[in-house]
Amino acid sequence: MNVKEGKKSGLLLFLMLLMLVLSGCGKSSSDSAVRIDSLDDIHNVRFGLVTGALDEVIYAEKFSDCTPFYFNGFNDEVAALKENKIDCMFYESSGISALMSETDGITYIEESVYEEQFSMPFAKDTPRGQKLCAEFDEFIGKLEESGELKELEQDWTDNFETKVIDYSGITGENGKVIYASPFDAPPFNFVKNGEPSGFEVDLFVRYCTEYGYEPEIQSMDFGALIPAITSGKIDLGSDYICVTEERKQSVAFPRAYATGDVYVVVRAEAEKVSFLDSIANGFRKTFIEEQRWKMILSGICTTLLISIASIIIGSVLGFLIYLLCRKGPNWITSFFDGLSWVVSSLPTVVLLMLMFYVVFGKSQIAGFWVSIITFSIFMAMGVYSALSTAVKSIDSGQLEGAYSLGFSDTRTFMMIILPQAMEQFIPNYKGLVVSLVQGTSIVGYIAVEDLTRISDIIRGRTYEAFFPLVSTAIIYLILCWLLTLLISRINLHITPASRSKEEIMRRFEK
Amino acid sequence: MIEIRHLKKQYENVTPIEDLNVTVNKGDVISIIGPSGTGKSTLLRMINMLESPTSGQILVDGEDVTAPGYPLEKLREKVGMVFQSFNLFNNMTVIENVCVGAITIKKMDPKEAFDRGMELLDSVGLSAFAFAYPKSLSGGQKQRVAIVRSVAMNPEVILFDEPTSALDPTMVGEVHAVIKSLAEQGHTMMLVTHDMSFAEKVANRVFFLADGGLYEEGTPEEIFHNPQREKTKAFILRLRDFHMEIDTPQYDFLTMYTQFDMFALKNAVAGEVSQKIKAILEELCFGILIKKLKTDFAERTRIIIDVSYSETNKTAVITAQWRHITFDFDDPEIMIQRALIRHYSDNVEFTADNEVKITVSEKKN
Repeated sequence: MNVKEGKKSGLLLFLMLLMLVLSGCGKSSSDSAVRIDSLDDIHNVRFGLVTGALDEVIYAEKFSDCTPFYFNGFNDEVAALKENKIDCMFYESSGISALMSETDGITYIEESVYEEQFSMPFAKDTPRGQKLCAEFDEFIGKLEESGELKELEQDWTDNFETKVIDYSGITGENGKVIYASPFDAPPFNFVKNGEPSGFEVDLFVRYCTEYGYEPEIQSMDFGALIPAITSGKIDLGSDYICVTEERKQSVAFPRAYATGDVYVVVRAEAEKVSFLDSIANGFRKTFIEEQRWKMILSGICTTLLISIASIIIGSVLGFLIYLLCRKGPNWITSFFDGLSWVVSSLPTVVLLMLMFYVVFGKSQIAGFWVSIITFSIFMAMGVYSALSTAVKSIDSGQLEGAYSLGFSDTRTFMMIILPQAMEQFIPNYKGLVVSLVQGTSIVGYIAVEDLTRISDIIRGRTYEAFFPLVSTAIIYLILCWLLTLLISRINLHITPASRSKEEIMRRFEK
Repeated sequence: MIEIRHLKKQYENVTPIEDLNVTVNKGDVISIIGPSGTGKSTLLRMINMLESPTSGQILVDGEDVTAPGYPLEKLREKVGMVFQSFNLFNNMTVIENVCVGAITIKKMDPKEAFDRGMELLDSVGLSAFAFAYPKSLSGGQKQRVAIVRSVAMNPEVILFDEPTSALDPTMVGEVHAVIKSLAEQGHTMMLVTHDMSFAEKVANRVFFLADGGLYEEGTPEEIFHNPQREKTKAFILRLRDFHMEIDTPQYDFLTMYTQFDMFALKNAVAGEVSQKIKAILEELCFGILIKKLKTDFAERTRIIIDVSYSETNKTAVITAQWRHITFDFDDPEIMIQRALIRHYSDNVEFTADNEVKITVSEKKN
């Protein structure tokens, strides 16, 4: 078959394969799953554990004959449980009824395996941390005495769908206090209508009201909370964090605001849902419910802002750095060659975290700006490298030809070398731009809510994987496609060989 | 116009120019020849300061251009250069290449520059290519554009650094025609070239460089036909000699043909003689030598073939010598080859056990 037919067949094959793969989603798990009805059934099965959580302690004590599987958060675990990738996981008692009502296909064994003390960690070694911790401790003490603490917890457990947090008493006269949580565990912390909500958030806001602080709330992975507290990025955090001896060595805990039992959650018999129904359900939960499409839009805006700002700043910076190296002494070139090598060798996520936790560790600058700075540097180094390579590939005879006519080095570069270097540079540039946009998907690690992070949050809330992920993927594809199209258009404009005779003759007008 | 005093150029391992002193007058067309490594190209490149001398002075119109801080743009407006690899700007059309220097550096009126550029292109027969890009031009066309580009700057001197060395023999003529016409118009020029027959036609002075300086100078007649000093003599003689040394059974005979063509062109070997020589070489090499080489080659085997040509009586002498290998010229297997060789040549003489001289001329057999 000829080229055109070949391309069509290939594309058709790809689409069929894609449909096959995607239709595997949305269906219930197989019947060959392990059945667990009581704690005694739990031997040599697959146990899901959240990293850095109490899970590991309980697991080691009671279920060490099972195989552990580590996850970053509860929502990933639940999804894995439903898809028969693990057989059991832990969950706290106060969140368990919310979990059961939120999602089908799972159930729990009504026998407590551990009692936990929940508290919010503060920085241990700074005066600010110690002060805030003491205040919070006092605050919880007062609520405990009056009985308000237990009432509030019960109210949230029963009415988390409708309960609203009261911000009216905030004065902010004593400055800001920063709090973070993954917002993936109702009723203690979750996202409602795009806003953070939950028992823990409520406690924080009440604390701020009482002591005259302005609350600042950020979203952050469970595993990142304690490092963020010890490095001073945030003042406190919560996510059913329970007090352990090990944690006490790095953070300070005020008294507990709640206690909880830990239960084991397992799969239940799921009702069969039709494929079409599950699609409709998924769509509704991802986009319609709680107007989540607005969150997605905001995520797209953040991704676009970071990407475009970094591309523009980085490109200009890279070009200027190249010019500097061209004119300047050798050590400047060596310096930037070294920097370029470091930036291109490190995984982007490591680079970003280095910038956020180390370089800007002491400063209060927000993750959004650190992202732009990091990706601008990434782009600048990429542009510098690509430009160097492209220019080096230009034959030195071009330079000599120009010099022999009396051209200065700058004129030669701008009029003769650069236009020729573009031919090799532009394909590299397209690749850089695409890499950059892909790279921005990790800013969720430093609490920036870009498209990928939003998609993750929605996935956690709805336990729905197909729609959030597939729509996110499609959006990224469209974004990259549009950007490369734009660059190709610009490239066409600046290619010397594509000029019309009229354009060429313009050079000869007075 | 140009005065060069005690010029020295030293590199890390070698010093091609020790002490060079020459004067170039207005209207001179100077051909610079010499063995490789004697700094011919380096000299040219120092005159327009693409390279700087280690010591010494170069004065152009009385001004010392080697002085630190001398504005090189000023020098290069007066001294233009044409390169072996053309160095046309690939991102510009032919007419832009020609005019960009005049417009940008000499600040000529763009419209005027365009008209003048087209005129110049027309004078070398390339006005139809004004809007073409260098990559679509042949080597000869590119070099003609490069020359026009230099001329458009109205330089006082034009330097040519082996202008036809990168061209294949069929295109050399068109470039030589342009250079000749420039000489006739009275331009001052300096050419580094290996093409002796052309140097003879166009130059009024010849510089032979050797021993780190100007070894001998004279008119083309003097240098090429009556060299006085030892090294000049040896060089001229060697130029007139085509040399092949076969020291491996895998010797590349085919490349040898192209090299012979270049030799014939440079030495203006009469066409008929050139054809005959090639026919003889073909029979000798492919018919007789190669077969023997494949079977009888020993470690120290050497076969040396020299062709020398005299322009006066249009006669060439092919001398073949061999060591540590024997040939049986009476072998009936090579009877046809021998007959052909005798047919093309005037005379075949075995001057020694391992040497044969074959004379070839225009005369009919």
